[in-house]
Amino acid sequence: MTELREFDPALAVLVWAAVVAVLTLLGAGVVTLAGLLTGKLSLTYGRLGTSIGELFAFSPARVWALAVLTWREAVRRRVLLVFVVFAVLFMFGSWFLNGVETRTDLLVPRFVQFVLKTIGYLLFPVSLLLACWGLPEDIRRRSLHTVVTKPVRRGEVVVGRILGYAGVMTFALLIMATIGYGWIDRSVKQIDPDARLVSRVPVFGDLRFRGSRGEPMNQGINVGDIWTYRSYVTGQTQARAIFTFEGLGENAFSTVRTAEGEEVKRLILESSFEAFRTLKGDMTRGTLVQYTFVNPKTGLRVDDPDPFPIEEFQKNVHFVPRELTVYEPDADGGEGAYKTYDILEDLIADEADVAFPDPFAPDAVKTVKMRNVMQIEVGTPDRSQYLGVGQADLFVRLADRSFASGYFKAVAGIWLMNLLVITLGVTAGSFVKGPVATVLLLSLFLVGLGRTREFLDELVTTFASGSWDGGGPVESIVRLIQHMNPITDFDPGPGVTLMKAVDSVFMGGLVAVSRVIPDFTPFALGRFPAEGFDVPFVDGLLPAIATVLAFLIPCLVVGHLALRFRELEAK
Amino acid sequence: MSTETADPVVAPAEDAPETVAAENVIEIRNLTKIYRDFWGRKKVRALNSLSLDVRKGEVFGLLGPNGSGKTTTLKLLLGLLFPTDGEIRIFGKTATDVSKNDRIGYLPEESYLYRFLNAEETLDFYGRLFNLPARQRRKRRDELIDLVKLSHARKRPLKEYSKGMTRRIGIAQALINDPEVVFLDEPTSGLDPNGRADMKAIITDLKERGKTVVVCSHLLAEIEDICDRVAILGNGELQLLGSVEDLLRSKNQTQITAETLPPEAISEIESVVARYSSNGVAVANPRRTLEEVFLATGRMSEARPGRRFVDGDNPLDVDAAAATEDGSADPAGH
Repeated sequence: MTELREFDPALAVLVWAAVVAVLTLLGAGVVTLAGLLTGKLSLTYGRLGTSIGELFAFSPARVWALAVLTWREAVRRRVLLVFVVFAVLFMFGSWFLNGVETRTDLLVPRFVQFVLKTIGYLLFPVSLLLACWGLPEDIRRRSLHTVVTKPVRRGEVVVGRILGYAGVMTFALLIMATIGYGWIDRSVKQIDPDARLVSRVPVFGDLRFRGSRGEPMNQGINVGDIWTYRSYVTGQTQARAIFTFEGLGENAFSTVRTAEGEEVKRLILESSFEAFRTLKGDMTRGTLVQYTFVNPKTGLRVDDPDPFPIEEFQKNVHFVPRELTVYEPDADGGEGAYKTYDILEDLIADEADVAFPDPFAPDAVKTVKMRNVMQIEVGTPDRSQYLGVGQADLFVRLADRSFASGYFKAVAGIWLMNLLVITLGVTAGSFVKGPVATVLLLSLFLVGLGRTREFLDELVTTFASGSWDGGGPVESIVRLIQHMNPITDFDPGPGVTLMKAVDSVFMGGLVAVSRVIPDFTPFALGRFPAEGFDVPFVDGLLPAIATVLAFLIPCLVVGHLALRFRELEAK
Repeated sequence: MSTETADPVVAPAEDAPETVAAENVIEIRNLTKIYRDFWGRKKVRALNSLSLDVRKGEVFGLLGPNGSGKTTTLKLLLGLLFPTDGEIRIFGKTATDVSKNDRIGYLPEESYLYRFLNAEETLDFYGRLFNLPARQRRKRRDELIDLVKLSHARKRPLKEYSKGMTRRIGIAQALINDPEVVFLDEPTSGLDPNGRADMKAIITDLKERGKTVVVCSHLLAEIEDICDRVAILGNGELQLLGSVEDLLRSKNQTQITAETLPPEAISEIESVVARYSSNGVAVANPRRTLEEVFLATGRMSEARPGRRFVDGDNPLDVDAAAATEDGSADPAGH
């Protein structure tokens, strides 16, 4: 199941501003030092001021001219031959993909990933090489001289190059993505003519648990699985997995067609729970799943009148009518009666304070104000059976969107990644030669995508939380010399204060530098359409857009200044 | 003339009349350029305390042998290099001020153009960089293609052009904005005699239209008849600055030019001249070439490092005087 990372735009802007501020200060320090060493401080700052002023005097017409030039250059150098490679791959790709699986739902992810990965792998080197070599070659061949001796701001060259290469890349991507879409559709239809590709739109909930005696828990019980993604609730006890869904309204009910051909509104719950059986039980069916809908504000609880057996390793889609009619034995003074509840009216609270166990303090509870909220408790009435539940095992499925929606949003992810590569490549090319720019960018890509990225993220988190065992470089050296272990505290004193202050500055700089290394992980959106989901905007596409925007403006400034302060004819 | 150095033969800039200074479109003061390596160590002093002015409407020749610093000067003027010391003003603005580029044109040494474009696209592209409206771009493009005689190849990519054709499209792009000052680096390089004649005609036309042209070349004969003034650089220093007319005129000889004369008339003239000159008379063309001036400048600089010649001083005259004193051969080489 797709794992989502929460994205907080406000926090992202704050971190960005802080990092840009730190790097600007560092840059100002370097410029000042260089100015002092050469004795040309005022001249340097004067030129810097003029250069920054030029950033606000860009001419769109000149930028466009440079972009068109870049486009022509790339096209006439036969960059679009990449299509030939693409066509060859697709001509023979189906040989290796068809026939391995017979189930359409397992084949579709293969097709989608094949198309998106092929496009990504073909486009990345094209973008990388074009961007890293374009400007340095322009400088080496001195064709740039005839440009910068016209009233062209150096930054216009940078923007023009970025736009031109982005244009080429966009054109190639659109053609390949459209062909790829047609190929997926045709391939799926060949296997199953009735198959309908869609993009599911899920609303995931927050998960917590209740133990078998009704006590709140962060986790269910462990049945011995090494993989701890799912934890288990015991059957026929008070144990429940409790999902809290927010933001549910009229849109939570989708139109579905019944067997009789009637169109009705249903709450669609899709699940992928796992069963752990301690005895065979009823061998004719899977372990039953019982939903209970709870209004967190009023405390009203309504059992789903239609428990269903799990089909493991499949998507379990459960349709719940908007109006639930249930038999309540205690109603009407104990005589029992059928009562009808409207999910939207009676079970979804406009606003409610929902209590969650605090993950950092087992006995504490934190209360969160939520809107349009409903809880769904998941349990099993089967005695001595266990139901395995993970965070993404249950979601409310909103009205499906077309497959093209998720597919082309994933393509947008590829586009954004290549735009970032082009931006970084052109910027690097403004101050180093082509081969160096290529190696630099490849390194950034590898660091920004792999485990090093995880290490950097961990570094930032650890530093921010102040739990850095052993301290920074100075403290580490002192501990090494004094044979101190990493957790023994120093005796307070001015030396220790100074040491920690120096380390804080160093580590802060390291964190800032780590933030400069782009995070390429948000661009991998292909997993969404591959698994049949639409790409969410806030937690899917927005982080990718934000990453590109975060680098676009600083790169433009750096590229402009690098070309402005660089002697293009330097020997 | 307006130069500023410590050399007594050069008039200091402060002494130059203000009215003359106002006519200058380019002012260079104590310009020094030292190339350094990656570690900041001095590699070569390409230019040493150069001071000179270029006046509005003149064709100014920047001459010198390879490595003399003329191309470095040009690139400093264009902002492609930054001076180690000294100051440059073009239209009163610094060399790195982009706004000055609206009024200048530049033909680089090798016509470093985009070889995948054709002539029309090239001129259209550079026209766009000046934000020229589409109609004006088309008009300028057609005019310039006709001017440089490339109408037959206007659709061909530049990579298929000969060197001469590339120079022609190079000069066309330099003129796309109808500039007030044109910098031409080796404009006749790679051109055939017809091309050279065309190039000279273009430069002459520019001068007639009141444009200022700075020509950088080592092909002295090519530009001596188009330059108003020249500066000769050697080893990064100004060695000579003056008007071509003054430099090429031989002051210690008199030339009489007339229609073809009968032998008796020549004999009579010779006898008259003999009364006033003990060295007799030579019936020949006494005019010397710029190349002679250039070579004599080099000789004089070697004999006396740091010596500079400005308006009124001619190394050939000094050379000739010295030769007369020691009785050696004709200094002009005749």
